[in-house]
Amino acid sequence: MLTELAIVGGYLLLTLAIGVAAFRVTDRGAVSYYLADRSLGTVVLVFTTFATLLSAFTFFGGPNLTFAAGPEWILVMGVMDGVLFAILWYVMGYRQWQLGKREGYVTIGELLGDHLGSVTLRRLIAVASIAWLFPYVMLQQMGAGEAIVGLTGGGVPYWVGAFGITVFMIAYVAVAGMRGVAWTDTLQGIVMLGVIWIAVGVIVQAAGGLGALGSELQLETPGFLALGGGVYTPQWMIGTAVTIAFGVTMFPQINQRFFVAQDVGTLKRSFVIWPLMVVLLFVPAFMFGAWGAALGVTVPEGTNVVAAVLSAVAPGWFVAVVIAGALAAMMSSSDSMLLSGASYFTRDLVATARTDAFERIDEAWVGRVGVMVFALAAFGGSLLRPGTLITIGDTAFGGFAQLTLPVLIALYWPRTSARAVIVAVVVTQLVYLGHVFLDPVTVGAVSVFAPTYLGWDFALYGMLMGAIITFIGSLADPAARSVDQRERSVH
Amino acid sequence: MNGLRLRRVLWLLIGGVLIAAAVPWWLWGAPLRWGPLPVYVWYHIGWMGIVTLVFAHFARRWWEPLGAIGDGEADAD
Repeated sequence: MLTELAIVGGYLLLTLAIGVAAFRVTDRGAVSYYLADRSLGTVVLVFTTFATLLSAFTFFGGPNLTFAAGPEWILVMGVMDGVLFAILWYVMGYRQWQLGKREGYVTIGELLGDHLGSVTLRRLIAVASIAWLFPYVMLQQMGAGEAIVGLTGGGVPYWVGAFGITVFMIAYVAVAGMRGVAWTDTLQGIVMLGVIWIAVGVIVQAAGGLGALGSELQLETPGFLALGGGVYTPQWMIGTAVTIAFGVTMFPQINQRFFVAQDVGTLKRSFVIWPLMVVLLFVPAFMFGAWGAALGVTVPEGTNVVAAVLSAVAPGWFVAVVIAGALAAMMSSSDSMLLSGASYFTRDLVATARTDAFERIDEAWVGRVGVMVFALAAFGGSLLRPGTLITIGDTAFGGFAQLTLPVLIALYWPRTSARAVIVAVVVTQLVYLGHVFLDPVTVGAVSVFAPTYLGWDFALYGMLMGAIITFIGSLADPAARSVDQRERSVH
Repeated sequence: MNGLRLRRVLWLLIGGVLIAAAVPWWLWGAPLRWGPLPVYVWYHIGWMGIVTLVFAHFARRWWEPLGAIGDGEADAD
């Protein structure tokens, strides 16, 4: 057990060292600290975006799901992250990148607020984003807690793992800016890819070859071979892929990466290799869960499948290496989340609320204290373990997804009115929260606040509602700035 | 300008196909396996290869014409 913990701890210290090195070449200006001076090249941009996407949700939630329900999740993630997200990266991200480079924007709230002439909108986007970040940070802490329990066979309690990652991410954000995060993400992405493929080799060998592994799959889990079944309905697969892909684009830590490419060639190359990266990582990572089920591995309640499967077929030190890699991947999501959350908090909320009385408050200091309070509160929430990793992640993704269409319309349609976007965001957030927290009520023939309508996720209806309110509201708003004015601000 | 608008619609359609056909809906419920993976996973891997090729063509030829701000067409509406 000591060896395992030493491997995990050593790896985390190495990433911290990289953060400190990056700190030395980062000045304290916002563009340097939050956006690495808009200077990332293809390799670093791809890996940092990739590693940021790879949270506990993908790495632990995914294999847990394929273990229980079959490998169809690979297809859902492929559609969502490999294709839909890549397209949104172009549609939304390329536009954001151009505007950001020209006007110096650091956050999407800043861009929209300036573009549509509304500080209220800027603050609203920041508040909604930070609110949905909370359950997602909590998810990382739960993932870490479960991973450590799985690794040590319960020798180290859940709260220690959860607390450990909390302290680490606070420390990391305090020293390293975007540059440090991006550098460690690159290391972590490469380590991740390496260990997962070695792990595949190990499980194939343990099963007695590729063919034997397939036979086990056919014999023990025949349901996995047929597409669909169980939780996997077409509505669920499409609904999950769409809400998560749209949600991801408004995640602060992902959306902010839309600003950081050094040139357009970097964006293009990242776009092209993106689907391949997704396949390279997700196919082996998620097949792991399915193969584990086929090999009849038992997974104790509240631990994760990756650790359990590996423990059954590989030596302890190797399990520790993989778990260290996974924890590192979660860390690179977490530190990015806190860093981006801090930039929303200080720039879109604190700085815009500045009056003479607050003039002397140091923004960087406020940001750090904010990060600490936020991370500790999320740690408190993670101790309650209010749902599975998939459920919590899905709720947060859906909440962010409610923001995406109004924002996308505002980026493309010069007539968009700030007031319409504000109404759309407030209404859809309230409707979404109602569905998350209230029990279904039957009114006449219709069940209100049901998790699905006609089999489709309520989050999809919310997204549609947001788009319609933004569109009709903009047409109806006489105060919407004229196209001429907008032309001037865009060109 | 019209040509570009047509291209935009065309690429929206292509994007829709790339998304929709990433899952082999026509294999729904069919228990097929090849080697260590279900056939639908193999299909998906192959499809992502095709997506990459299409993305590469788009990035080379249509990236700026359809997405660049500043030459007057981006906000044509």
